[in-house]
Amino acid sequence: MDFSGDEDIWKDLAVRAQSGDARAFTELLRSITPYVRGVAGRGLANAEWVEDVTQDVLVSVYKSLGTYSSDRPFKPWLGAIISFRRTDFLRRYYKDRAHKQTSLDSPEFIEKHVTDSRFSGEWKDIEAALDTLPEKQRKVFVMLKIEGYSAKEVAKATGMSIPAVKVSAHRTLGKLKGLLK
Amino acid sequence: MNRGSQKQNTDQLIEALATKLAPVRVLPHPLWRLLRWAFVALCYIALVVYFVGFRPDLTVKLQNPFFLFELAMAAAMSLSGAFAGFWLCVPDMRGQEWMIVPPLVLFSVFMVRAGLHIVLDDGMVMPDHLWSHCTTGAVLFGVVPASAIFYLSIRGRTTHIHMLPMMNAFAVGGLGYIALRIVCTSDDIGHDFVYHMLPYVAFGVLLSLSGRYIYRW
Repeated sequence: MDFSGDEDIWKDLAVRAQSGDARAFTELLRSITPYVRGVAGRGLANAEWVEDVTQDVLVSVYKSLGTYSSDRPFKPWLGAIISFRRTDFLRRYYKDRAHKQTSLDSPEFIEKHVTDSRFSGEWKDIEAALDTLPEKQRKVFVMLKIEGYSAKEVAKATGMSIPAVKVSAHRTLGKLKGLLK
Repeated sequence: MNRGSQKQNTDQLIEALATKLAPVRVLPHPLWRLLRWAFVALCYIALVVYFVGFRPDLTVKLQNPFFLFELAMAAAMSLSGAFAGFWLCVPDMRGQEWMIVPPLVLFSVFMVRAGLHIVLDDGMVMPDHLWSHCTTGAVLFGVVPASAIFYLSIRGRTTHIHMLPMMNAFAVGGLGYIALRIVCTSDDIGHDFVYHMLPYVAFGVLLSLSGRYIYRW
């Protein structure tokens, strides 16, 4: 979506909102929301996080409206808030990570996050591509990238060095990309 | 929560925020806020210096170019720290991110100079500390400028919660250093840095570490 023409409109709406114009403020928040989603979405893992950060940003715009100065462009001001809130969100997320662990035995979690029928075809393609690889290369890749073993553990299991394991996985990834194109 | 209900929540949030909206007072230009702080801080420090009294050899010291250069450096650190601090109160720093560099450089110069002096000239011996004079002086000179800059800072909305208190510390520390240099007779480089400037910066570091809670918005 192209937002290049919105700068002046947002600036005008922000100035009107500063004087207490609720309609202008509503319009401002509605029109910046897709932009905020787009910018905040870069580097966030899923749509729920993007929406959480978007809502944080909207609240922050409300709280910091007085710091916007009409002699300055609006986007850098908004961009700084988005960046700040996204970083803050990620910091909080990674801090609470231990509390957010979900058992893979949970049927609800598996239904929502693991067994997604929309991607079942893609997974079969990946499996088929993996089958074309040499045995050792496939084992390294599956252990490291799918089963979640560390490079050290894979190296121990396969009798390879740690750098060799990493190089092998990297090459396999490239090969799979080529096969799945 | 699924995407649809979250989107609905975003719409509801926008409505709620718009309903709560009241006219806001636009934050004055950082330069204007800096001038207000500088006026309060300088008046206060001048008053305290008047009551505490100048060092007896001040007229002689004021003819020493090194002494004057040192005071000018501290003034530059204070001023650049104040500039950066007041610009940092606005989320995007009004596009002037470079402003945090000069106070950091000037403080580093003071630090390196004192470090070299303590290591090379004093043989790693910590300078003497005059509790009654330096500590009370540092607190006395710093309390009002620090309170004023803190009050003005929290009225803004910073996205640099760790850097802002450091810049404020440089602003107050530079002024406090000048004040202590013109009342305290010590000319020892190590002593002046460790007891006249470092306490302010250490306080700034403490605020910086807890910046997430203090400057939350």
